[in-house]
Amino acid sequence: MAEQIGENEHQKKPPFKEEGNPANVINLVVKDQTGNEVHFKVKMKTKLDKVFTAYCNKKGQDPSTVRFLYDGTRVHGHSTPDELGMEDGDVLDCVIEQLGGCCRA
Amino acid sequence: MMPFTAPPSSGRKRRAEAHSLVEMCLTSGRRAFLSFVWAANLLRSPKRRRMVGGKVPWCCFNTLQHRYLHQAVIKASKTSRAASCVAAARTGDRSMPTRRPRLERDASPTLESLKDSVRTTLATQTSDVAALSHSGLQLSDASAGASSSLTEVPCQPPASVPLPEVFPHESDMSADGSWRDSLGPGEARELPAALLVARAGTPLLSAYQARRPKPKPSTCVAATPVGPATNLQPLHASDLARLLGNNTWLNDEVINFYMLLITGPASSRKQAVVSAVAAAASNRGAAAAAAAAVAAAGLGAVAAAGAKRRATQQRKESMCTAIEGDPAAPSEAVCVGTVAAAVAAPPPPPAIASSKALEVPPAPPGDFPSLGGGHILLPPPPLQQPQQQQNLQPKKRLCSVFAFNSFFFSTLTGRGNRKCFKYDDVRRWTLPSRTYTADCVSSRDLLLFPINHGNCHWCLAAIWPRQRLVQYFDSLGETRGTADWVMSTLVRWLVKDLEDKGVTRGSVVREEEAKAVAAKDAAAPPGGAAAAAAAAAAAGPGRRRRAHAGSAEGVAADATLDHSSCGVFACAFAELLARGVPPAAFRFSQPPCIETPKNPKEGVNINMTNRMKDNAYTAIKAIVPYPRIK
Repeated sequence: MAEQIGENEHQKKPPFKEEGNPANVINLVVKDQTGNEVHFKVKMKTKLDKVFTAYCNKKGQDPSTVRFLYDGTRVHGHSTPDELGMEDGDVLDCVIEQLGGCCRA
Repeated sequence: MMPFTAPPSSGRKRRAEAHSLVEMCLTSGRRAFLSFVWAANLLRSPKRRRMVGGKVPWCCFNTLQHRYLHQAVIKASKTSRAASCVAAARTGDRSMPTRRPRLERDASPTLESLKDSVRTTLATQTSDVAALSHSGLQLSDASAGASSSLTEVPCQPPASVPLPEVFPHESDMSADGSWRDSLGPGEARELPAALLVARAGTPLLSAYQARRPKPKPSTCVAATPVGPATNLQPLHASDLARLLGNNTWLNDEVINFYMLLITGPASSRKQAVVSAVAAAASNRGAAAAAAAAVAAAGLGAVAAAGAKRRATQQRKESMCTAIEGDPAAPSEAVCVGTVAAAVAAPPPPPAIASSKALEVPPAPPGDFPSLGGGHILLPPPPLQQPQQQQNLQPKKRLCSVFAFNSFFFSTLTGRGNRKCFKYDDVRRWTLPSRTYTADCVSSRDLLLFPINHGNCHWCLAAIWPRQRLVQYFDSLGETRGTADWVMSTLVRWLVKDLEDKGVTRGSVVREEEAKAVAAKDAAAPPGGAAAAAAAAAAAGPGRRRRAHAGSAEGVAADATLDHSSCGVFACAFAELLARGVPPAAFRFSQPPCIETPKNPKEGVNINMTNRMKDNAYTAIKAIVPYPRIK
């Protein structure tokens, strides 16, 4: 289920840049609340928006109703794995919007 | 599926501007939050969302704050026509344009317009918390003469004037000379459009307010003489009523953003874990806290840089002094004593021995007020001379708070499954690098857990780790079973987390705490009894304190609930707890909602069951169910 994110950019760039630095790409796991996992290969400088969009497209979810948490901290799409200090194999939790008024379920 | 509004690829300059804007908003703390809530209510309406949805992300990130800011601007511009009409009527000027220049649909609002709107908002908020929450849109017309009392820079009454024991209501503000700013009485200030509208009031609201009795002094939060909270701004009935005028629900973004505001302090990422105290002492000043909050929200490197810069700035400016907390703090009455005792003699706020008290640095004039370190929710400090500041500013003892995500509990319990306990899913959430505390979160005085039940109800749970107290706040005031479940789950989590972090990290879980936890763990079997034990366990090991289950009858919470305000109540609980107000002193007043349930076609469908109807218009006495003690 792995998807390559940032592949286009990868192709545009001169190959030697990328090839020489394999540590530039990490594996991210997006895990939803039922435990299903989707794996992504992400470059450290790629904005996580791409991951989110790809995930939502794959799952058919509305991006506005989905939140992504990294160790309990909300992650926004404009940040990159580099900024967040992510490592290979890190897990992003995908949770669904919560809503509350005053009634009992 | 809604089209995903990807953040536009904008330049660094634009991003920096956006950050400064957000920081400004965050700095204003709770009052800005109220406007966020108001704007969030707007967002609930699909029609409006569609109307503005396409052009929301003018700046580089699609965050809550910006969307809401944008909403505020949109709203202000929408009403500026009404404002001009009002102005024309007042001055008798017939030449006023009857049509206002519309906000161009395609043009994104400039930074200046956003800033203006925020300033307007802040200016109005001097008089009343709620006033601002709507960009002043629904202020009562009673404050028509209050023009001179409104300033561009929000300020508290000068320190020479003693703070009113009861925060004056909005309509009293014009009469109170102490709220006037430097403007002379005859001087006229050109008021922003939103303010004019504010004075005019909406017909519905003014009719509503004519019917609404003025809040009695005892019904507002500030009426209770609580230690450091002398200048609390009360959560008035009108706050809640106006916020929820259209009966909309709050979602997790709003709640979590509010929790972020409450947690506030921490530090930027770079300063992660030195020690809890050092971290708490290092970053003071609201700008630092706000910027740290922005950074914590993952808003990017620019914010972090800004946070750092501002932190150093603030450190230079602020005159914080650390004061020893009262070691014998414990506030028995808060935990478990009879409510009667608690009401008669409100205990000191839960100050902890190692907690540092802060003095709020004076706000630099002409700037937005800075708030107490780590506690964004405090009202802005009085605007006064720095040399007077030291003497007159009351010493504040603040407790350090850590507020969890609202997703924490749902993740821990597998989306609310009562038989589920997934510690592994949240194990990393309390890593020192995430919580900025060396020892899990046990060094904080207060842990807050907003809890969402079944995607339709907000509650709040609180843990006071040192007092061994677990609380659960439900604005519906019932559900013993749910309370037990929540509290026992949290206690189970806390024990396990301490164990986990303490062992593997080898960090600074204090000896007595570890001992006490171990004792409790051994003494009490997991389950409901564990919660009770945690709640009842005395500060010293081996001592048990008796608690009164269901002591909530004594808590005269004059709250009437409509069917949509539990989110606001959860926020209010959190805020009051963070300020050190004991639960017995909570006072809410919410007038019965007079508006009809919202149109099911718009926004959230609300099925009014019989039970909800019963709850909607009767006073709920029991807001604070204390944990049951075995």
